[in-house]
Amino acid sequence: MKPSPARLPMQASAFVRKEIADVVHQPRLLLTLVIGPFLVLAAFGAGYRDETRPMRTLFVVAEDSPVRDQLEQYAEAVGQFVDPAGVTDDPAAARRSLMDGDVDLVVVFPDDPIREVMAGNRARVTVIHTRLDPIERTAIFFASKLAVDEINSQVLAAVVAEGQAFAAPATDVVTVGRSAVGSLRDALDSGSEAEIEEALAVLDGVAVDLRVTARASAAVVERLGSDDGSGAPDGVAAGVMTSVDALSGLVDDVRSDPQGAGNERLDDIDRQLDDAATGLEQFATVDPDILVRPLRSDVELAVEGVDDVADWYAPAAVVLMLQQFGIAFGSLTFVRERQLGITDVFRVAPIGAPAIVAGKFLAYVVMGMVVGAVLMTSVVLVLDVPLTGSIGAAAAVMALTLVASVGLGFVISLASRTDAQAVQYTMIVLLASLFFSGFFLSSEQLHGAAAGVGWLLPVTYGMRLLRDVMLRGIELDTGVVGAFGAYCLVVVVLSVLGARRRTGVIRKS
Amino acid sequence: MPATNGSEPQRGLRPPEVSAAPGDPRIRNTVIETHGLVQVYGDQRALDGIDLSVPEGSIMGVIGPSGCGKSTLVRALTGMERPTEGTVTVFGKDPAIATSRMRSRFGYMPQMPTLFPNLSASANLSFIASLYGVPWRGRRQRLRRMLDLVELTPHRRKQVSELSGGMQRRLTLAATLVHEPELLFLDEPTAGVDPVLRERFWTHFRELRDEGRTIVVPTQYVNEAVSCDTVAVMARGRLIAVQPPDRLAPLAFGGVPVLLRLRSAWFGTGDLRRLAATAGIHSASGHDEGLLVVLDERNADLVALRAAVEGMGADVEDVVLLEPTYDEIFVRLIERLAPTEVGA
Repeated sequence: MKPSPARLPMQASAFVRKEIADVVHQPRLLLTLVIGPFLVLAAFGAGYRDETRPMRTLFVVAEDSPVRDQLEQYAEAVGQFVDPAGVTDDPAAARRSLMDGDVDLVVVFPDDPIREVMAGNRARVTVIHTRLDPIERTAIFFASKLAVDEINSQVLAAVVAEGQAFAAPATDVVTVGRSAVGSLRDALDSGSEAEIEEALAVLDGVAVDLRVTARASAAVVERLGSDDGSGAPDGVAAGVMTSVDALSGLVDDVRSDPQGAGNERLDDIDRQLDDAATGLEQFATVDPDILVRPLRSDVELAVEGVDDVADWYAPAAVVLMLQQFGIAFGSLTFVRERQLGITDVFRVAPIGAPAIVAGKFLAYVVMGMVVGAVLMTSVVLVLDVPLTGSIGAAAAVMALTLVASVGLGFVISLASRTDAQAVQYTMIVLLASLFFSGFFLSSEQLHGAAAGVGWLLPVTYGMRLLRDVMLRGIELDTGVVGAFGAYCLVVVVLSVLGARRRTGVIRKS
Repeated sequence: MPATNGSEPQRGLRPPEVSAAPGDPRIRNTVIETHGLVQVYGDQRALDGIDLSVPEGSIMGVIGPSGCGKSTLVRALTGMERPTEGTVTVFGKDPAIATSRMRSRFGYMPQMPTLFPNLSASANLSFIASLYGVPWRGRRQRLRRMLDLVELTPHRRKQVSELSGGMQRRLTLAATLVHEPELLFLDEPTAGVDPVLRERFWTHFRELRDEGRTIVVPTQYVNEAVSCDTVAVMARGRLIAVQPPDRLAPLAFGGVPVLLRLRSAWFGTGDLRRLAATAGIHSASGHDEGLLVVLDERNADLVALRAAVEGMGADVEDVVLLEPTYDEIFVRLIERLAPTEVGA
């Protein structure tokens, strides 16, 4: 029989049909390899809450400790992290409760924090827990640090409030000063030297009082950390000090030349008193809580529409599932044919490795694109994940992911002796994908060879690109696309070489 | 006794007993030719100096005990494995570097069913048809004919995993024939096939042969040798005989086996020795039914034999030409030409 002239496309299409039929006739395999991981991820997504569960916390405080009164404040400060489970003065009993799992945290306060502070040491609050998970340990570390910072801030706010209380009477001093300026004006008009000197003495006293108040305020401000290092107070306190200095200078000028002091100079004294009064009033009326926490953090995402944890994980999950689809089916195809003995038929038949590989690639990429379309539709319509970029770009990323994954699967298949071995390799790839691709942990935290491992996995490229397309809506990074294309080329070439070896002449010695 | 063509055999094996191909007018050119074919796996010589020639339009049966190298020979002939030593030519070329055009002329049926279990019977057949470039036009009819041949038309939509072992074997054969190959390598095609269908297979093989196709059939069913034009008997990687089937019995017995039924069993060892020394008698031995005498082929005179035996005092009931089964012939061949194989 004369073979058809279109034998090559006929052979490739035979593999396409065969692979598709093979997959369609194995619904359980499809379910296990594709829908199974999707259901696992969906269950994870549905059950996961980006909230911290408060930890049952037992406080250990000595009976006579002054901190006992602060406990409520402490618990309130760390309210989102802590669920108070009681107070005890027995550290050993508290530790037993912790080890028995009755509580999650034990917070031990110092017996005499005042003595520690007066000795120039920071009083230590110790947090004890049994959590081994590194993420939980980090969370506990930051929570305890936040709690102590919060207590420290409350202490500071109390100090500032006292400073403000100290500044409040200064307004009375300013009133006295204004009255003295009036008396001085009258004394200068009458030419009474005694009255002039009396009024100037009152103003000297006012200047001293204002300077003391301003320095006290400046000291508080310095404690809050706004000292620039030069020793000169800034802000409100610095303004008051400047006014007081100017006031003293004006008083000295009048004293040295009473006759030359006109209304203009007295108006200047009035103005300096007003400035000092305004500054001190401002200091006294500012909320001490704001003074001790002058800065607040507002984080704004420049990308619109991404506001859910699922938004971040969904593109990665789609790429990961496509990768697993490609690798799982790709890794079984050659090894199963080998186990069935069909490879020998290929050896004798007039078919080359390129036609076999092309047919298989086409089949799995086409099936994978269908799966990808279903996944994308579900993710966008059901989970409401944004698709900011173009559908074409998203399809291109999925196609590249599939080619790379199917190719990697073929390489695994060609390197495996049994299907069990191929499945084991596939599981290793899945495990590596979770750790090295940036799926759960940022890949930027990986260094050296570990960082390179991620780039051996299709999911690393696909995840970056699909997040760019779906969430950021930006053009595909040509560098990553180029590297991904090169990756695809390498696995395709390796697949053809491996298939040629599998279906070619055996040379044994 | 047929002439041997070699020197002292190695490892207890005699050189192959070879006779000229029958003078069948259908037989034209030599399709397969091997010289000194050796295939070594580790320290085992799976093929040990095979010289073989298969004429066009003939059926060459390859018979031998399990593990004797039949499948290895087929793998070398199809070009699947390059031999360690020696040469193979198929259609005048090395099959290991065969072009697609040349491979299109091959049909290979492996020993085990090589089918995709999740595909239907007709999908499997269509897949193989595509591999060989069977044109779309007329393909459906062609597949139908093949399925009819192996009696699987009613099961064509069933997945292969639902078919019995015998059905899978039949489907594999259909897949081998689907592109009408000129040269067929059928590795134990009737294994697991019931006797009725087995006979039908052989009828079809003979039809294919009559169409001018060449068939190489390794088989464990020794009695299938009768359907072959030539039978190659293998033992421990060597060819011990290449003969037309009707020449196997004389070769196995060293001449023409004759059974003499006696009315009285009087023969002792001395009598047998005296009889064997008689001219024209190759050997004499006891038999369940009397006396087994092997006559020299060129002097097979039954009347003279009867007279000789009666002359020695025996009461002969009748003298018949023995027609041994192929199983008996095969066992005899191995005992005679590869005695160490029997012990193995």
